[in-house]
This record gives sequence, C-alpha cells and structure tokens, in this order.
Amino acid sequence: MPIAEREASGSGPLAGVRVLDFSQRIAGPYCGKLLAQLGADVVKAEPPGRGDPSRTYGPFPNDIPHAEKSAQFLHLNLSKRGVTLDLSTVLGQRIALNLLEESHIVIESFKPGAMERLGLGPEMLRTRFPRLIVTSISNFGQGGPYRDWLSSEAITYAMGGPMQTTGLPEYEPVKLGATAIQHSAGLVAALATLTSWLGSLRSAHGDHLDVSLFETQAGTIDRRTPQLVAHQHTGASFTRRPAGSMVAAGARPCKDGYVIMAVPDPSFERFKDLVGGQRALDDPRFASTDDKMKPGRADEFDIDYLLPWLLERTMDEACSQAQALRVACTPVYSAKDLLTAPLFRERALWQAVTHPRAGTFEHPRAAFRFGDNPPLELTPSPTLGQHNRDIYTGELGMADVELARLRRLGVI
Amino acid sequence: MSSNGDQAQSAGARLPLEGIRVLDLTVVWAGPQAVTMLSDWGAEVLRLESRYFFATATRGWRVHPSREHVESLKVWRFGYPDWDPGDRPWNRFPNFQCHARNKLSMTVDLLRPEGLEVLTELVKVSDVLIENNGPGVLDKLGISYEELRRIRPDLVMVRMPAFGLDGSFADYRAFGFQMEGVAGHMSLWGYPEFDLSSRDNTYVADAAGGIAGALATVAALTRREKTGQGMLVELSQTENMVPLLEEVVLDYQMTGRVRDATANRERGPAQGCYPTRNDDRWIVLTLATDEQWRRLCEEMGKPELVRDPRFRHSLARWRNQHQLDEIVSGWTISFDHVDLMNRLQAGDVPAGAVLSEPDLYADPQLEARGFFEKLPHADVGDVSYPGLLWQSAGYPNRLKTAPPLFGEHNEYAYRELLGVSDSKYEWLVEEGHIGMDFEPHLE
Repeated sequence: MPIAEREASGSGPLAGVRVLDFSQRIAGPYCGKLLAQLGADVVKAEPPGRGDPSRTYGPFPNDIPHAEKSAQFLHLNLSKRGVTLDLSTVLGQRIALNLLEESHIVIESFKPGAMERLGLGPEMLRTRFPRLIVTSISNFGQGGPYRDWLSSEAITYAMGGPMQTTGLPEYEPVKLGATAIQHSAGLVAALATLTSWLGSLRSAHGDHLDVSLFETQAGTIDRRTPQLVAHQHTGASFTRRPAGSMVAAGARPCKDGYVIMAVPDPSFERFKDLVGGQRALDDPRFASTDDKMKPGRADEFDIDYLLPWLLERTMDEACSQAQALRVACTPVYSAKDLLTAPLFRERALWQAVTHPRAGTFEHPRAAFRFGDNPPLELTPSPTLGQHNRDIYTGELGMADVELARLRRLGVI
Repeated sequence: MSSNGDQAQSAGARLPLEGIRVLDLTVVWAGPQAVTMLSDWGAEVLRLESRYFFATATRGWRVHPSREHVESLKVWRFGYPDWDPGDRPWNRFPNFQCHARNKLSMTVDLLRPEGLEVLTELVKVSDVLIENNGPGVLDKLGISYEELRRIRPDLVMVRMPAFGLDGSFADYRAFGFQMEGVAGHMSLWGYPEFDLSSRDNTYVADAAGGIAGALATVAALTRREKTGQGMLVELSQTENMVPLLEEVVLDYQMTGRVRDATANRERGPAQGCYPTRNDDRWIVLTLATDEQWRRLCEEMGKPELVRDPRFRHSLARWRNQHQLDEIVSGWTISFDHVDLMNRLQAGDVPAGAVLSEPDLYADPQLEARGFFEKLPHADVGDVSYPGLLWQSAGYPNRLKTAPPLFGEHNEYAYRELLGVSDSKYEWLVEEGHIGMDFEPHLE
C-alpha cells in the first residue's frame, strides 16, 4: 500500500509512519512496540528458523517452552506485523533495501558494526535514503573502548545505574525487578526516534541515533543523576541505607498487605492527627518536622502510633482514610493484584488479546491518551513469518514463485 | 567534552525541536525530567515558578533549611554544595540541579488574576503546556484545557497524573516511589528473605514517566505538524510502569506463579553480585553460556571446574549457584572492582563493576563519548553535569546552559516575550510577581 493510503486508513499520532524493526531481545523491540502503540505500522523482521531470541526467554504457559508462546516475546511485539529475512545473505540484504524504500524509520540492535558488515551501514543507508531515521540500540554505544563488551540487565544496572544504593547496607547490592532497565532504555530509544522523526518533518533530513543502554542508566533520574550532582557538590558517595530511617518512610504492613506513605513537611501535622490523634499531636518527641529524621524516632513512631493504626485497617481502608486527609498513602500490588485491582479495570488498562498459537492473555494498553481518542486496540504479536505473503507479495509485488524460491533458499 | 556543538553551529544545523516553546508547570521529579528531554533537543522551556508557593522536593525540602535540617541531610547525603544552603538554597538543590539544564525560569503568582493574565498571554505565544501537579491544583488555579484551547487552538497540553485523570485513585496524592508499589515493582526487587518493609525507595516510575511524558508530547506535536490541531494528552505514570514488568503479569496468567524478589538471581543464567578487595565495592557476573563459564574458570586459574558435574551445564550451574557463589566470591575478593571488570571483559566474560559516582566520572567509555559536560553556574560554580541520553548524527548536540536561577529569565519573559512596558514591569515587581527569591513568610 502506498504511504499516502496507509496514512488515511490508520489512526494515532504516527498513523502512516512505517517502521522496519530489525531489533531483537528487549530494548529495541520495546521501542518498536511503543511506536506501534502510537499508530505506526511496524514491521518486525526476524531471522528465519529461530526468530528473535526473546522467543526462548519465557515464561511459557504451564512452563512448557514453545517459540510462539514466550511471554517476553508476546508482549514486546504486540501490534507489529512480522516477516522473516536472513540479512546474512545477499538476497536478504537486497530485500531489506526494498523494504527500506517503503520505510521512514529503522530500528536495529545488532552488535555495533554488524550493520556495516551486512552492507546496511547507517551512513550508507542515510546517503541512499536521506530522510530515513536509523535508530541503533546497543549496550555501550556505537563507539568507545567498551563498544564490544558484553552485558546483561544486571550488568547494565551495576555499571550505569544506582545499584550501589539498591538493597541493605550489610548485604550485596541488588538489581531491580524483571527487565525494567532494558524496557526503560526502549522508552528512551522511542523518544529519540520520535524526536528526530518530528525534526525530519520540519527539516526534511534523516538521522542516525545512537542509544547506549549504559548511558540511559548513567543519565537516569532514578537516584543516579541527583547522586552524581550531589557528589560534585559535597564529595559524598552514596551507598545502601536501611529502609524506614525517617518517620513513615518505606512500606509498612497493614491488615491484608502493605502500604507506602509519604509525609513531606506540609502534611506532617495532618498525618500525626490521622494515625495518633491528639496524643500524637502533643507528643514532644515528634513536635517539629526536624524530629522526623532523628535517629530512632521512626521506630518509636511505628510502635506507638503507625503500626497499631495500620494493622487495624486493610490497604483500601488505610489509603482512602489517609487520602481523605490529603496524606499520600498507596497500596503495594503484586502481579496478581494488578489484574484484579479496580483502579486498572475502571481505566480499561487491560485488553484481552488472542494469539493464534499461545492463547488469550490480558495485556496493558498504552499509558498515553490523546484527546478523546481511546487507546489503540492491541493486535497479537506475529507468529514467525506470519506476514511474509502480505508484505513480500502484497506490498513488494513479488510473485508466488519468487516467494517459494526465497523460502527454499532459507532467505525467508 | 565533545566539539559537536561547534560543528552544529558552523553547519547551521538546527535541533529537532527548535522553535517550539514549552510552558513548564511541572514539579518534583518526573514532570521536570520530561521537560528536560524537550529542552535538550531544542525546545525553549520556560519554567513558571511562584514566589508564594514552595512545591515540596522541587527546589528543596524547605525554603531556608535550618542548620539542624542540613545536618540531618548528611545521613541522606543529598546535601547542598559543601553542606551549605547559602543565601539562595533553591538554586543549589541537587535534585533540581540534576535535571534543569537548558531551561529558563520566570516567576509569577498564578493565584492572582493578573498572574493568570500573564499565563494567558504566554499561552498565546507557546506550543506546549505541561504539568504533573497533585490532584486539584490546576482546578484551584482555574486552568483547564477547555479554557486554554480557546486562547490557543493548536496548543498541546500534557498532563502527567500519578494514576490517571479519572478512576478511583484520581484524587490520590502520590510520589514516584509510591507508584512503584502500585505498579507492582516493589514486590519484585530486594532479598527474598526480608519483607517489603526492608526495601528503600526506587524511582524507576519517575524516570520512565519522564521519558514517556516527553514521548507523548512529541507524538502530539508530530500530529499537530500534519493536522494543525492541538490536543490534551494524558499520561498515567503508574500505567506507564506496568508494561516494563509485563513479563511478570503474563507469568501469573500463564503459570499461576506470583513472583517475588530474587536478589540477583535470574531465570536462566547463573548470576551474582560479588565482593571485591575494596570496601563496599562489588562486581556482577552473568554467565549465560558454557563458553563464558569455561573462560571464567580459566581466569580463576581453576580449569578443572569446567568438568565439575555441579557446574557442567547451565541448568546445573543455575541449580548450584550457592556453591558457585562461594568459589567465585573467594576469587573476586582479591581484586579491585574496576580492574577485575576490565580483565574479565577483555576475556569475553560478562562482568560489570557496581560503579560509584567517582568511578563514573573517571569512566573511559563515558569520557570517550563526552557524556559529562561542565557548565558554569552562578550560585554553585562549575559543575560536571550528566549529559544527553542519546547521540544524534543528524543533530549534533551538547548541553547549552546550566540550571536556571529562580526567576533568572524574568526580563526575557516579561519584556521580550510579552512586551511588558517598563511601568507595568515595575508594578509586577512591586506586587511580588517578579523576583528572584521566595516571599519571606514561606518557611
């Protein structure tokens, strides 16, 4: 379909934008998914046979591995179409160029230098397609002494992120949950891509973007950048601290789970009134806001006021009573809670998506809403090579015999 | 420092967001980060700040912190330069310093009619208004998209509520570390042997919310570029965090398993965080393949371990990680954490030292990429700021200006942008809208 026609048929801010997604694993595919959720037509190209390694990551239904049923793959590639293409063959590279002819944006996460070796180097692509945006995502960047170093979710966090301050002082530093770091990098890559895409609408020139996971962590506001600047200011170096070293800071148990409260200075009096009434308001140990951070005071307040109050209340009760007094108090949810919590049901966050092989699962819709438009409906992740015919025959105009030949040669 | 900026100037290249003016009503953390992403890439960002309202955790915890308060900050380490708040502490707060580069600051009191009039005039010459204030704040000020679009039909207004503009938590107040609990993240990190009250604050939801807020803004601007129409954009920061952990929600649906914290364990590779020779300095190893294990055994001078049935293949290593930990940590403890990382990576073993702040400032990769950039700041001196989050060949870029002083750009905003007369300007000063400090009654 010509670009102009696609534009008319789609919706979402990126309707009519074609993205060719060569990326694999987590950060790149999440970047592609976000662009798809903004309305772009994202075509994911996977190596024939094995496909994206995330097809092996799992978890799997009933823990039985299957290339079409990996949770990580199923969510990272929602709303994309999928083709197979072997870029290590000359024929595959020629087809890639044909696909690029029809694309505005290309995402890749190969090892730095691999695109050049495949005859698809970003500089060459930009010369050939002057308006193309090429987004390269890598562990450490396209250059520099660490260019070829190996990494993992935890290694990226250790080197770039605030791992030194994650955990308890007497124990080893710990990583964050699931693959939050790589997903966060995918968000940065999507923003980089979209920023240059908007630039290209105004300047008519393309771009090559170099996103380094290491730098997305060295520049994260999750503790890292304030700690770096504070270090410049005082020479202090940060490490892990015990949780709850300030009155009400950290998670606290209640009747049926945990809540987290936040009591900045302006709400300290309201908070004392809420959990301890006049007795707490009159208690000289907690008279001023400076007392919140004095050694031992958090424990004393817990024992005398906060825990007795919380343990008589459910998460819902504690939160609604505190929030009614404008005291910030929120529940701690597990994965199971996320699916059942009324909050997300009311907001229609979850959408059941049926995948032809894996079955039906609920996925979160995009978090952004544009005007009165409902979020775009998610479509299932592609099975391996699902859209080969649509795209190679329907869009590139290949004959059926040609398709059969490519399949025989293992190119698709 | 890279020389990209000079090249950009000589080539006459523009930044992708140049010519876009953003009115910045954001507070605290995620909102300001979203705006940084816009100002870094060429948008003109004007922070609207009030001399009568001190938003917690934005330009400080307190206007003029007491000596006692500053002392207590030492425990938390987020102190002012040299532990001295100075005459204008709000310009020296590290949590503001770290995100506010490339922005402008003006003061105006939006609670008074003439303040709102200033906002109205600014909206006429702006493209974006962005905010992440607590529930009810905009209503109280009488600011709504419906009103603003009448003044500027193609305005993009971006709101970043914690949980959404509707739903049962719409009126709930929350900081970012609380959103992490609601989005399910707090349940997933930490040590399995300790309960949730052992877990300190993390701010991934803020970080991701900041990036996503900018993403939503640029998406709306892209739309406007084609249609000429503005729109209201809503980004729920908590909902934005959920897909980062989606694998875990699918795990529950697929297997009934509710995942808990695993410290540094991973599903699949053997992985651990090991002590080194230096006090509280650590190194993470992730062993995904037999080959990586073989190379590590060689580095450790224990090639016989390759044939040890406890560690022979990846499932065996995964099952016997406690024994593997003992062997590896007995070896790592003799080395400097950075030296060991260099040595193992040279031998193709995936290893990453837990890098401290001084380690990052001395890091050869960040140095080669020109990540940190030194800028002079009137109230702080020269600071080496963490820099751009990505590099662009088409738009060579670098940091331009240090974080703005409170009210530093009043002259620009009122006189140049709005064309306010000398007498009106004086009147606005007298009325207290314009100034470079907070009203003395605020504490």
